[in-house]
This record gives sequence, structure tokens and C-alpha cells, in this order.
Amino acid sequence: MAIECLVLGAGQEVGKSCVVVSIGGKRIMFDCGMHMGYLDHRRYPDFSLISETGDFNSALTCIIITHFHLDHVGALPYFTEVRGYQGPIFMTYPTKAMAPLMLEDYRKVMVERRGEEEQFSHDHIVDCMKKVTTLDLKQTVQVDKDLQIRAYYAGHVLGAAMIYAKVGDTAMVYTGDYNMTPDRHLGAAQIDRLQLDLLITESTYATTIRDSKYAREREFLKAVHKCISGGGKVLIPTFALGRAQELCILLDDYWERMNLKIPIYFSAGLTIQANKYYKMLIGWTSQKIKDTYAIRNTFDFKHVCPFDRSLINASGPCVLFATPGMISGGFSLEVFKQWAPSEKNLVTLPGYCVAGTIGHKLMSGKPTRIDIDKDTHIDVRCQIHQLSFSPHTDAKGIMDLVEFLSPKHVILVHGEKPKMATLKGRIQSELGIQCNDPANNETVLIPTTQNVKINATKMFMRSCSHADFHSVKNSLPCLSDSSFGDSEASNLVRNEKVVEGILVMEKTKTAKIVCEDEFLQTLHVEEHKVQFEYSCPAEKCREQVSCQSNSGPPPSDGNFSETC
Amino acid sequence: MERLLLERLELHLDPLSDERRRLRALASARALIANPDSSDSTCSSAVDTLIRSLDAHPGDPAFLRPALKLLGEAAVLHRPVAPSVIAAVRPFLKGGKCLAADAVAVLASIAESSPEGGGEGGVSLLASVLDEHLLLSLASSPISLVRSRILDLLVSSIGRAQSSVSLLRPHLMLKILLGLAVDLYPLVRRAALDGIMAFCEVAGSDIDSSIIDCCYDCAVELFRDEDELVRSAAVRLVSKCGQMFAASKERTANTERMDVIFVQLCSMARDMSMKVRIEAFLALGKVQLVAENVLLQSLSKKVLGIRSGSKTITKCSVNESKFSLSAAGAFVHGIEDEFYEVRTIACKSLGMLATFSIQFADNALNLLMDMLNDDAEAVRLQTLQTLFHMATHDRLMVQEKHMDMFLGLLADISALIRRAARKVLQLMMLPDIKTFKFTIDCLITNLETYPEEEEDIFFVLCFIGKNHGNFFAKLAKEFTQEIVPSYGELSLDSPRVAAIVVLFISSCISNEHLTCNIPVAIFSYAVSLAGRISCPLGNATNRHSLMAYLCHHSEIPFSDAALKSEMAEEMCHSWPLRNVISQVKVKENMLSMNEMATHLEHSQTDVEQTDEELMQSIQSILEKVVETWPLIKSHCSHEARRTLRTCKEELEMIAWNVTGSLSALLEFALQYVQIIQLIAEMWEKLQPKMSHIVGMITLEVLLEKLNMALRRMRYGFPGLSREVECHIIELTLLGFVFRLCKVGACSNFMLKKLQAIISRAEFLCVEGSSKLSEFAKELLRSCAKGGTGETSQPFPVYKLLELFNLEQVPFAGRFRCIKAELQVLGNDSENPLPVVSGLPVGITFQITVHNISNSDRLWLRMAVGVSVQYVFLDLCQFTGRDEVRSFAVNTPFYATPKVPSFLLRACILMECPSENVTDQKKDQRGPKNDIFLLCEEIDVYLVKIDYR
Ligand SMILES: [Zn+2]
Repeated sequence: MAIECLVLGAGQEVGKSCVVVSIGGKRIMFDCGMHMGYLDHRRYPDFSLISETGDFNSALTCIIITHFHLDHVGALPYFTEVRGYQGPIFMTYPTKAMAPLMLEDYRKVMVERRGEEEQFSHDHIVDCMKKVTTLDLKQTVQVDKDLQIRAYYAGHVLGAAMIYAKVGDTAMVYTGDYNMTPDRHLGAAQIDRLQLDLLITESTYATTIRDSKYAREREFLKAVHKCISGGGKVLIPTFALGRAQELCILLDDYWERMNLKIPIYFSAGLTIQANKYYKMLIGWTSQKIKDTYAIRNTFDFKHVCPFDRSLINASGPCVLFATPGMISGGFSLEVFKQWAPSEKNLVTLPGYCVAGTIGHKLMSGKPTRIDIDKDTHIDVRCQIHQLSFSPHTDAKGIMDLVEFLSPKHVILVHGEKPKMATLKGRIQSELGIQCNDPANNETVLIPTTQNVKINATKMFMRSCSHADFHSVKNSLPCLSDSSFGDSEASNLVRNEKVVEGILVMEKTKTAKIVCEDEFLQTLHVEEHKVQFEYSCPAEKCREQVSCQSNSGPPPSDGNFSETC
Repeated sequence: MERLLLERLELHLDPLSDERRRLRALASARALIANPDSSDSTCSSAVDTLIRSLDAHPGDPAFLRPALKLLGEAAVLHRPVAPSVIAAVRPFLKGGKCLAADAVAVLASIAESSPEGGGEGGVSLLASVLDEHLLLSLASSPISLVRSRILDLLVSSIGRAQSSVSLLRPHLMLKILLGLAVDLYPLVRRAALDGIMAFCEVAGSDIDSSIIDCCYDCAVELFRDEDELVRSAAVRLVSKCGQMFAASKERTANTERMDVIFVQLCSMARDMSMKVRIEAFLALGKVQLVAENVLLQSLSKKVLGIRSGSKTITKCSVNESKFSLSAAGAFVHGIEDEFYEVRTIACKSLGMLATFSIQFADNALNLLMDMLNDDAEAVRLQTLQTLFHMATHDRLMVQEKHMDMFLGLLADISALIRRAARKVLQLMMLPDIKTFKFTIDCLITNLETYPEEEEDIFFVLCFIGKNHGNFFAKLAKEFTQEIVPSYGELSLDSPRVAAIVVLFISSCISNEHLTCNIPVAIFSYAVSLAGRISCPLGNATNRHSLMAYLCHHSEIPFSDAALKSEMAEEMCHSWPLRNVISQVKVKENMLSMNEMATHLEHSQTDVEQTDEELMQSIQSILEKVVETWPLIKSHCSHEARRTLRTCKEELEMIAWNVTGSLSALLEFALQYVQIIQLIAEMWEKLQPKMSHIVGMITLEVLLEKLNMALRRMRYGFPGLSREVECHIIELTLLGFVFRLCKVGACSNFMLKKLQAIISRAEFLCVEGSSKLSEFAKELLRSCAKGGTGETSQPFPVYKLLELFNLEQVPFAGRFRCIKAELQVLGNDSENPLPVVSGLPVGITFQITVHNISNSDRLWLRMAVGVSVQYVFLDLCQFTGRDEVRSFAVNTPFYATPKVPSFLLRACILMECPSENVTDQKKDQRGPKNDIFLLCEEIDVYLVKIDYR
């Protein structure tokens, strides 16, 4: 039996994650994402490779979505509602709660702002979500008779999961995006030691090794504190889910500790609704938030005040969170226009900005003037601070996970081609594990070991489960305690546990392993004892004695006598 | 009632009665046995009845199981029935599944309990019944419950066995433990690992290294166990093995292995289970003898190139790259762990390892400074304690980039954090003048925000001032301009001005050459601040001498002129240029550093430290104190004093955790360190070539301090062993020799006293096992030669000093500490007591005394200038015979001077028990014998009534 792994998206690139894995006759689609960088057919995975006829229901056993980011869930309504997949879909509770928010937001931006033809409608999203079955962490779900899946905590964003799937003896893990170091609001990825044939892991930071998160936090807090103590205003354009909460917890905590009284504002919209979900889904957050939840919900931010538009031009320092993150328009652009001209103010930028956005322009060099269109331009005199928070694990984390799980085979997805190649080399040379980094639409075949199942009798199991210390005692009759302490004596103490049994294979039945004692009974034969007269020369006699001293009945009846 | 119950018990336990009745009978038997008022005979007959009923119900587990359990409880509660219970239970060991397990559980509970009021231990009771063969067959029982319970039994027998009694020969014991460590059941594996741990602990240092090898191998195998508790136990065991390797004779040969252990533990620090990670970081903190490059790797996630010099790693069987990979960044991960428990321990372990390597300490500091921004208060606090720990070990080299983050903590919302941050700041050597100024500004802002923490902030300012005299000198002018307006009054209400004055004074006291550059005005301002700053400065001096010093420099006439110059003199001498951190960096190579750290290892304070451990660490600090003796003797006093100071700081650090019974030992140790410090100082002054007159005054002061401290040691700790008393007497004799040194000759009175002390020493030696030292014998001989009367022959002082040798303090048993606390409620410089001058004034003192018996003679001493008044405290009047007594004493003070306001110094004294040699010159109204202080002197502020 082999595992067949078809990479429909995120092969040697970041975007539209989608991998179809066939194990033992089952076919699972992991993630169904869209690529945000394309507007043509490349936006979606090439679903036709799954089934030429378009009969996805018989071609796929199920779809499992790891988390709510659009590059992991974006193509789902299209696939189910437009392409007609009707089979089971699995995702975690928070993902099910948050994914529609994301999809709806995206749809609006596409249709209403850019005036594009819509790929899927609001109703599509609603209908699609109705088909979803939810997963809980560490809960084993029997999808059908043969396929078991289980979700593990992945960090990354609220509700992100790594998925373990098992058919028969073949098992694999698909990580989705994950983070091996905890941040303020999410814990670190957590998984059991599993016996795996295949691990499919993301590799966004295949070569980066990040230093401690404290340094990044410190830089951010320092910049913000400096700005507000100089009377400036801080604009934090962020994406509504995840980073916004993370940064806000960081600031809220700092405000509390340093006894600061300057207001923090959250611009309305998505974020407010998202905060509601965060408050409800405490079980998926970091330990600290879980611990203190009974006293105070961390997402009830103490220092966050309600915001209204008139406050934009109010005097005095403040901190404002606004969407969208890359200042591509909307409220963050509106505020940016007002605040950018003052050198007292500060604007933070997310770690990554798409080309063409104002965020991207600010990142590349320090422009003094930004033209929005022919008539409007902004004088930029404010300070710029680029954030380097990332919810992805770094190269060290990937190596740690691979080493921890020690699977027989690794496939890298969700990364940049040259960096993935480097990581692949390291996994092969340093950990000695086979590794692939397939491109989109490539298929990788992975051989799996074939296990033959045998039965064992109860008695045999029992004999395995405990050591017989008498044999020890008998074998060391002359070992006195005065000699205990010699290296020779203590070498005897070393453990070598051998279990003996007899494998019985009968034509129609499964092979079975039995104890010596049970053997005769199993064969339904009586025990014969063969006795000898000693009438041979002395040295032969000694041979005989040593035979007899092998305690226990002969391993099989009959032919024992002939060897002597 | 009891009889009735017993009879009914007998009746109901009859095999013919129905099942429910029998169970009810068991319940009443339990009631009989558990009731503390039941008589012994009732209990034993109840047990007998139970035992008989066991035979009557063969093969009825529904009855036998609760019955066995009850018998086990009975044997624990009533030790006399234990033998018969054991005998009754024994046949069941070979019985069916649950019964055997229950029977073992009964035996295990007996083994674990220790009999009240001595008697045969549970283990020895069992040893007579259980033979090796039986134990072995139980350990190889196919029933997991039996195996796990027999392990409980064995483990408690390891822990409790007196050297003579043991159930199994060691090799069989180890065999069983190692065998069960690979059992199919995690419960059994874990218990077996704990058993091996106990085995190693009991075996101690005389265990063979090949056996440690076995245990170590076994534990490492289990690092990949699927059960987290087994993995935790394995980590503990590996840590223990590591400590034993490090302690063994072939320690140098073990360095490579220590590297391997360190790396293995690092890899466990990345475990997915929080419990395992906690154990791993705890273990990492205890590892010793690790190569520096391996240590450094644990601070960096990037794989560092392995230096060409070290072959250690290639020689090991571990794959090289994997080796570095598993160590890489263990601490970086540790300090950003999701669980604050892990972060705290990782931080603590960082501090412990930092003592081994300067480079490691520097790199670790970068991580630690980041942790100051952690969201858990516990972690921030631990970080500060770690920094403090590093500072006391000369391992804190801060850079400018760190200070921003660090000084931010001064504004932390938690008072605990602020205080801890200042404590670290005290010992910090600031890298440059810019940082110095920034730090001062931060402290002043801090003072403005938290005026209630003034004392603490002044304290830090004092330390910073005296440690950074050179920086201060450059800024002095700037500061002067800032606070002294060209004309007019200086406002001390401004925190800024007060803080800068404090800075001035502290840096002047320690850097005499600065004094001349400082406007006299500042000293006179400081006089008015004396009350507020004497406490911070009080480390080496008291309020009185500070006043004298300030007055001396501010040219203000001081009431006690005689004292003035002397005190001022003393001030300068007791504040030598001791820069706490700026000492020459220790240049030892790695190995000897590690050796040193073996000691330090003990001194590390631990939140969970038991009394036992604390006692050990105090003891090891005292050992370190004694080890300075050769240094003192060879006049390397600089080095010696540095070590002594570290010892004192360590003790103070331990004091954070000490409560209850250990505080006496701690107090003793602190006194002891002080005495050795004084001796070291005197020894230095006594160098023959350096005899100069100026030193003499100081010597007199030092001698008086020493004698006072020695008296406190001798009489202030009832319950000290003879050996310790002997030790103190030796030191007292040394004090005499010092005095002789100074005077050159011996007065009649002194001689008598000396003889009295020596005879006490002789008496102690005759009674006890110790012998008089050569030093004491020689002194005795010289005394005899001198004969009575004024001796014409000078004492062979230098020969005597040569003979003196400081031995280890032999501690045994527990002793108490006599001490007192004195307070005048509601009195401070702002709220003085009103006085009509010339008339007596009544003062109410709140007194708390510890461990005082009614026969002790306590005095209250009040002094204003030269007039001293003693009040005898009759303890019989004060209620309570407990260890701690509190009471209030209202006493008049007569000699009120005719001044607008004055200061009264009060303290509690204790009279030494009479030695029959009294100095007739002593004030008749006061104590007749020698005295010592039971508490620090306190100040009482008084003001003439119409001045209010
Ligand atoms: Zn993602």
C-alpha cells in the first residue's frame, strides 16, 4: 500500500493551500484555499485533476479545513456550491465560526469595491457552512469504517489545527499553518508522539531562525511608548483577526503595568465582532488567558475605549487600531491621511504588504510624499515602525516538529521554492528522513510499510508484560554483595528482555503467537516424553546433561530426540 | 459500649451470618479501631476477631478485600498489632488477583508508617517475614497492581531502612527496579524510576560508577516513553545521575559525558508536555562541568560552529549535527514557553549556569533583559532575582542597550517588582556616564511617583553613588549648579534635591578625595536629611557617626566633640573603596570555576527548598567563610573580604526564604561572618611593618565591636553545642591577643579575665571530646609565665597569632536565638515627643523578646549625648512564657538636656552570665557584667514643648 499525494496548491509557493491525499482507498482533501495574488483561473486549485468527470462526491472521502485564513478556506464555497461537492467537510468550532466572516468580507471587497463578477454569493457561503461538521481537539472522529481523523492544536490563529489521519496501519499528519512558539493570545502547537508514514508540513520560514519574541515585543512597545510620551498619536493598521488581538493584549498589559492612561481605540466593524468570538472561544487560547479567564476575560480590554470618528482630530495622544492592515483603503487610509503629516505620530506596518498598497510604499524606503490619485497626495512626516510578529513557526520549529514526530517521509508545502530546497536538504541530511517539495499539480508516491497482523494469546501477552526475576536470581547464584560493585557484576544488571513464543500459522486463520506452554494444547497433541539410557562415553554424557538443564518441555514434540 | 460492640462484632463475623451483616460488622470494627478513645485491648481483640474471620471466609473476595484493607489501617494506627497482621496477611500474598495486591498494599502501608515513639520500624518488621524469594516472585507477578504495590513497598523500604535492615540485597533491589522500569504499564515504570532515584540517593557517594551507568542508560531509554510522567521521572533520574557523575572521583573524565547529559536534557526541554519541560529545566540548572561551547549553544537557536579546539563532541557516539541541534536554543524556547511555570524555572536555571561562564552570563543577560517584559509577575520577579544572583557572583555586565528595559521596571505597577529591581540596581555597575545620568534621572522620577518608597530609593542612590564615584566626580559640578541656587534657601522638600544630596554624601564618604570639591553647604543640608539617609547608609555605619561626619565637614559644632573626629575617622575606614562589582574579574579557567560552583550550587536559594537544604546551604556558606582564613593570614585581605561580603550577601538572600526554626542558625551565621570580617580587618591593621598611630583609634573601635559580637555569639544562642562554644572561646581569645598587641602589655584585670575564659575552655574540653588548640595552650603557658601582677615580660603576640588557626564550625543539634525588637510607636522625625527641658520625660517602648528565660538579665539603655541611663527589665513582670513575649514599658528619662530638640538612642542589652571577674569601674547603676546588644539602636525624637 502506498500513499499518493497530489498537491493542488501551495506547492513551492504560498497561497491556495490544497493537498489531496489517497491512503488505503480513501481520498482526503486537506484545505481548500484561494490565491490572493491572482484574479484569473490561477486563483483556485485545479479541481479537475481530482476527477475529470467532475464527480467529486465519489472521488473524495472528505475535506478537512485547518484554519480560517482565506488561503486555506477561500475556495470552499466555490467548490461546494459552484462545483457541486456534497460530501463531508470537517473543521474546528472556531474555524466554522470565523470562516464565514472572512469569506463574506472578501466577497464584499471583491464585488463592491473592485466591481468584479462574484465567484460565490452570500447564500453560497451560508449553504456551504451548513455542510460542515465540527471537530474538537484530540477527539478521534471515525469518518467512515476505515478512516480516522483527529485534530491537534496548531497555534497560528484561533482554531487552527493540525490533522492526523489514519487508514488501517497507515497514518499521516497534515499540519496546515502552525506556530511552535506561543504568543500572547495563542499557545504553541501541541501534538502526541505518533507513528507516522507521512508528514505534510508548511514551510513559510524554511530558512529563517527567529530570535526570542521578547525582542520584537520590546521594539514595538518602545516605539509606541516613545510616541505617546511625546504627545503623538499611534495608528496601528491591522488585519481584524489575530494580529489585532495579539497587539491589543500586548498594549493592554503594558498599559496596566506602566499605569498609562492614554486611550486605546478599536475602529468598529469586523474587529468588534471578532472580539466577541474570541471571548467565547477561550478554550482555544493561550494558557495565561485560560488561567486568568475566571477573574477577567483578557479580551475585555481594560484600556480600550469606544471610538467615534470625531476623535480622529481630537488633541492629545492616543492609540488606534484600524482595518485594513496594509492601508489599502477604508478606515486606516482615512486616518492615515490625517495623521501622517505630523512628525510626532507613529504608524506601524504589518510584516508583509502587497505591492501597490500604501503599506508597501511606506515599507520600501521612507517616502516624504505619497500620491493617492492625481489630485490627492499626503505629506508623510510621521515615524514608521515595521512589525515583525509572525504566527508561523521558523525553521528551527519545523525541524523540531519533524524530529519529534520522526515520520518516515516528509512533504514540504506552503513556502518559497529555493528556501524549501534548503530545508529539504537539512531534513534529509541531519535527520535522515526522506523529503519532497513537489510543485503544484505534482503527485508524490510514498511507499508504506506493510504490516501483517497476527493474534497473540492472553498468556503470551502476560508473559511479555512482566519480567521474571527468578531467572535472574538463578543465573547469579554465586554473586555475593561484596562483589556487587564490580563492573562485571553490574553489567549483569543490564536489561535485556527477551520474550519467547511460537508463531503458529494455519491455513485459513490469522497467524497467532503462543507461549511454549500452550503450544501442545493449540495443536491438540499430547506431550511425549522421551527418556534416554545413559550408556555412552563420559564427554557425551556431559552434553546430555546440558541438554536437560535447558529447563521446560521441549519446544516441539517428536523430533527433539533425533538431534541428541 | 466497647464490649458490646466487640461481642456483636464476633457474632456478625460468623461465617454463617449473611453478607450484609458481615459488611456492617466490618464497618463497626473500623469504628472501633479508628476511634482514638478505644482502649488498646479492645483494638487488639477486634483485630484478632478480624484475623480469625479471614480464615473463616476463604475465597470470598467481597469480604476479604475490605477486611484486609481494614487490617492494614489497624496495623498503622496500632503498631503493637502489626506483627500479627503481617502474619495473617502473608498467606494472601500467593492468593488470587486482587487479594495479593491488597495484601501487598497492607504491607506497604506498614512499611511506610513509622511507629510513634520509636520501636521497631515497619521495614524491620517486614524483613523478618518477607524473604527474597517471595519478594522476587511478587515482583514478577503477572498482575500489574501487585507489581506496582510491591514497588511502593520497596521504595518505602529504601527510604526508611536503617543501615542494618533491608528487605533485599542491593543488587537484587536494583535488578527488580531496573526490570520494572521497562514494564508494560506506565504506572509501574514511573514507580520503578522513582525507586531507582531513591536507591541512588540512599547509596550516596559510595555507589559504583558502573551502577550509575546502568541507571543512567535506563533513564535515557525512557526519554522517548509515551507517558509524560514516566518521561518526567526519567529526566529527574538523569539529572541525579549527572550530579553523581560530577561528584565522583573521576569527574574530569566525566566532562564529555556531562556535555552529553546537558544536550539530552536540552532536547527534553522541547518536550510537548509541560511537566516534562519543567523537570528538564530544573535539571539543566543543576548540571555542572559542561563545556562552554555546549552551554552557549543552549542560548542560540542557530547552530554555532563547534570550535576546533574541542574534540569532545566528535568522540561521542551522538551524531554531531543532531547533537548541536538538540541543544540549540533550549533556553530561548524555555523563556518564551506558554506556561509561566516553565519560564520561571528556565530563568532560574539560566542564573545558576551563568556562574560557570562569563560568556554564557553575557549572552544570557540579553535573554534575561527581554524577560523583564513578561506578562506574568512571577516571571519578572524571578528574572530580577536571577539578575541579583548573577550580580552577587560578579556575572552581571550590563550594557547601555539593556538599561532602557530595565529602568522601565522601576515604574512597574507591582511594588514587589519595583523593590526587586532596585535591589539589582544597587549592585549594578553602570557601563558609562550617560547611563549613569539616565539611571539617576529615572530614580528621581521614581521618587516623585512613589514618595512612600523614599527609603528604598535613597538606599539605591547611596549604592550607586559610592560605586560610581568616578562618574559622579565628572557630574558633580552640574549637579551642584542644579541644586544650589546662587542665593537663597535650598528646598529639601523637592525629591530631586534630596536625591542629589544623598548622591553627594554617599559618593563622598566612599571617595574621600571628592570631599574638597563639594560646597560646604551641601553637607549642612545633608545634616537635616541625616534621619532619612542614615538608614540607607547604615550598612557600614550608624546614624550617630553619620551625623558626626556631616557636622565635621559642614563645620557645624557637634555636641559630642570627643566622639566626633573618632567617628568621622571610622566612617572613612569602614567605607573603603569597595566597589561591589568593579572588582578585578575572576580569571580562573573553566574548570576551577566549575569547582567553585560546586559550592555555590548549595547556596542557591530555592522556593521549594526544605529546611534541610537551607541548613546545608548555610553550612556550606560558613565553610566558605572559614576557607578565607589562609587568605586573611597571608594578608590577602582584599580577596578575603570580597569572599566574605559575597557570603554575607548570600546569607541575606537566603534570609528571604527563611522562617521559623532556621532563623536562629541564619542569625548565627550572619554574626559569624561579621566577626570574621572584623578579624580580617584587624589582622590587616596589625601588620607589624605598618604600625601607625592613626590606626589605633580605629582598632579600639573594632575591638569593642568584635568583643560585643563575640559575647552575643556566646550568650545569645542558648543550646549551642560544646564544640561551638569552644570555637567561640578561641575567637574570644584571639580578640584578647589583638588587644595585647595594641597595648603591648597585660593588665591585671585583663589577665584574670583571660584566665577565667581559658579555664572555661579547659572545662569544656575535659567534658567534651574536643581538645585545646595549640594556640590556646600557648596562650595559657604565656599567662602562667607572666604570673600575677603587671607583667614585665611582653607576650609573644606574633607567635600566638601565627599559631592561631580557624577551624570549621562544628554544628550539631538545634539552638535558639535570643533577640529583641524595640519600638516607640508613632515617633519619627516629623512627630517628636514633647519634652519640658530639665524635667523627666516618660517614654513608652514596645518590646518584643525572643527565647528569653526569666533568669536572663535584660536592660534598656537610653542615651542622650554622654548621659546614659539604664533601666532594668524585670522579666517576671511580663506575662507569657512563650518563645516570643511582647510588652510595653513606660519609663522616665531624667537627664533631658536644655536644647530645642534632641535625639535619644535606645537599645536592649543583655548581661552576660557572671564570670566572677568584674570591672569595678563600671557604672554602679547599670549592668555589672559585660553586656551585648539584642537589637539595633533606635532613635527617639524629642522636642522642647514650646518649640512645637
Ligand atoms: Zn494561515
